[in-house]
Amino acid sequence: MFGSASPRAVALFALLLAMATTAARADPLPEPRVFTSTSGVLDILMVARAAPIRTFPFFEPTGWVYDICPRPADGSLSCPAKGAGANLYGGSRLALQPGDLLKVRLVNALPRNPDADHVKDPGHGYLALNPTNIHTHGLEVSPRFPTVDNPTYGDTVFVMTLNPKNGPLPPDAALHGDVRIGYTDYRIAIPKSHPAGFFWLHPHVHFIAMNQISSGLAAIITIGDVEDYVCKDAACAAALGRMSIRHILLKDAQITKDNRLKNQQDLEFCQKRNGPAPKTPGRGFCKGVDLGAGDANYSGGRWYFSLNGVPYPAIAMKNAAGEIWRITNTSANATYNLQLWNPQQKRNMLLQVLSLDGIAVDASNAELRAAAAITGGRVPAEPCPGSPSGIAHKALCARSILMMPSSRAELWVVDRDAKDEVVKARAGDRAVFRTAGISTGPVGDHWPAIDLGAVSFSAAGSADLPQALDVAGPSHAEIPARVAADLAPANAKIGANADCKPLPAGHLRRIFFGLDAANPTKSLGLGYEEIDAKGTTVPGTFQDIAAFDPSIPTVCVPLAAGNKPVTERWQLVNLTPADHNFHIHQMKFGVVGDPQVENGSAATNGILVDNVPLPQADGTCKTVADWRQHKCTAHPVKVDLPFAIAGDFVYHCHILLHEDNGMMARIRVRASR
Amino acid sequence: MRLARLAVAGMAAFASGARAEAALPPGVPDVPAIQSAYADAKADNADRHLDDLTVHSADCSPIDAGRFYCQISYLRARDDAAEHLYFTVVTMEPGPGHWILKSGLCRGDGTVH
Repeated sequence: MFGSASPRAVALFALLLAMATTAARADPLPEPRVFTSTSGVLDILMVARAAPIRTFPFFEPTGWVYDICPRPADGSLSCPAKGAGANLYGGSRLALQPGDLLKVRLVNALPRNPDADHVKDPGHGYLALNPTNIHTHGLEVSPRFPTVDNPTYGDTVFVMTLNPKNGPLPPDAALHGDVRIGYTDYRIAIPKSHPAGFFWLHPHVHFIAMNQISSGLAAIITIGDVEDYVCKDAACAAALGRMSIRHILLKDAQITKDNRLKNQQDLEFCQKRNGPAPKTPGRGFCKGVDLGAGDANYSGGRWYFSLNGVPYPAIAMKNAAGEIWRITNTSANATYNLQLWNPQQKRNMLLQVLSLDGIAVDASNAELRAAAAITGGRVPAEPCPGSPSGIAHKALCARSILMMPSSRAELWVVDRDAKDEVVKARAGDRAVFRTAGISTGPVGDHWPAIDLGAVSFSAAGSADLPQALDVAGPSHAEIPARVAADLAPANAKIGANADCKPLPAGHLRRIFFGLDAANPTKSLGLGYEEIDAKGTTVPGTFQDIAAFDPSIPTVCVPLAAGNKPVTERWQLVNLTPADHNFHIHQMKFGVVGDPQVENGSAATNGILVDNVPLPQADGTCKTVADWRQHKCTAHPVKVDLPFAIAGDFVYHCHILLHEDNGMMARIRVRASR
Repeated sequence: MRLARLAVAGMAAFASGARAEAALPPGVPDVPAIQSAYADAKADNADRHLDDLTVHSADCSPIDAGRFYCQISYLRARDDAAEHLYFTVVTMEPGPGHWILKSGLCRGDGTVH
């Protein structure tokens, strides 16, 4: 048939055939690979390395993945070879229980990365060597450093591992902490009182975190099981037993027409700033565009938005009871506005929110109208219809979930009728899991609307379905004290510091998000001041907005007497006309978003998070002085931070383009004196 | 005649090598050698080096021309976090009878906290 055809024509025909085949077929959504602890320990080798991504239609770029296996007894630094069908890019799940010990030997086998923007910065050429590390995002664990007795690391970002094959460090390297050659051993003790839920793990080397996460480096961590906080009563538990539990990593990758994964992401890949948005959502991707003369041309490329590495998979439910979806935004920069579109009803379906950022919602003390505020606007809350009288806590429902980078949400997804009531599905009931397009401000980013997956409901199983699932996690107010008690030995080892002074009663710390005052055209940064009970800046405390300096802690917080937790109120002031996303390591915090909630402790009001959107300012404030002169209107967000874990860690914007550009600061928490 | 010239050249090379070996530090840098090299570097530039740094361990691999790349750990006496063990890398170069610290462990480069 092709005897007289040119090789190019044959290739074109094969491509067209592949396109037609792929368009008609949606691959099923796979579960991430699972590595489960045994006898209280999960001991793994985690090799960060390059691997082909074989789940994208038309392209087979090289991404960076975690190749994970039980730690080889022979000390080998590589995992057994994988078959061609292995979906390493799709991610893995580390399944732990409270009280477990997570032992990780992280091996850096990544290639060099000379294309990272910050390689050009003075003293940072060494970043082309592609050093890496890990951070267990959301876990309330110690960020301890090694000691002579225990030369392993806790969950600290102040260490990086080099791949020796990429060459030695140059003499002028401006480092951010410890340096290890080849591999680094982590030993992370999960407190016995750690709340059940789901968290994640990603690299956190300043200046190149975006490059590494955009290339695919991410894994999820679960502590305990869904049953630990959902459906304590028998009827609900019976329904839960019929549900599938899905773990979903939202991931994006920009692929240029020459089949390369662009890890220095260009957020205008599919839409020029202020240019027209694509008319219809792409199925798992948007098309690259030509940004014009003198600028990049991404025509012929695609920006994939995948679920567990698969763009637009088929999500076929197996039971009328629906499914629990545990969703993690592992994208470096992308914000998702998740919805479940019902094409028959032509509206977004109602979803019950079971947990945010890994911690079960506890709506028992919260008014639902306040719920949107205490999630920082992430969940436009609605009552779940037909909540049965037997339910112990109010159920939280929503039609959309805002997911900025690093966010997690756990949803009950089930078929519903036009009144939003849970019903047994009819054959053919379908929905589209999608993200609506969203803009994060005039100088922010435009995130494309993407259809993420095709959902089909199931009519199988009993029609006896609850209208809402009972959610009953641990008391949020008690979590910090319990974690501090579990980590008492680690906290005591950190020691006290005479220079570390407690925040006086009635005072708060104010954190500015804006342009680096010393270098406003190049860097972002964070500023600081202490505010007294009258709202006045405490003299001598103001630090202008500055890019991240890993050597100098901005804030020092002593734990309370007996190393008990201490809760501080912080005010987060975004001076820029673009949204940011505040995240702090080693804790969950409450958002103080409603005047009625303000007088109480936010930690008792039902929602704990580890990241919160900071809305853009109206107007232009290039400096803190501009803000003090009312040249813009900021929309500060107040949070209550229960410090329970001693050590040095960071807080930052989790839009990694911003973090890598300096929007991060070091904090020091010390034992009480 | 040719053999004689070769023998002379060989002896000269041997003699030269023997002199070089006498001048160079032997073997692979170890903890005392790196501690000593750090003290020398501190004597040259006190501002960029610390008084309380003690090298705890060293694991060195050759790079080229007698240079070594070493994974080391060190302690600081005045650290407020008890027993904090730091890790970094240094480059060592042979000098006349001792080792020279060529990179790493300088305040300001991030390897000294």
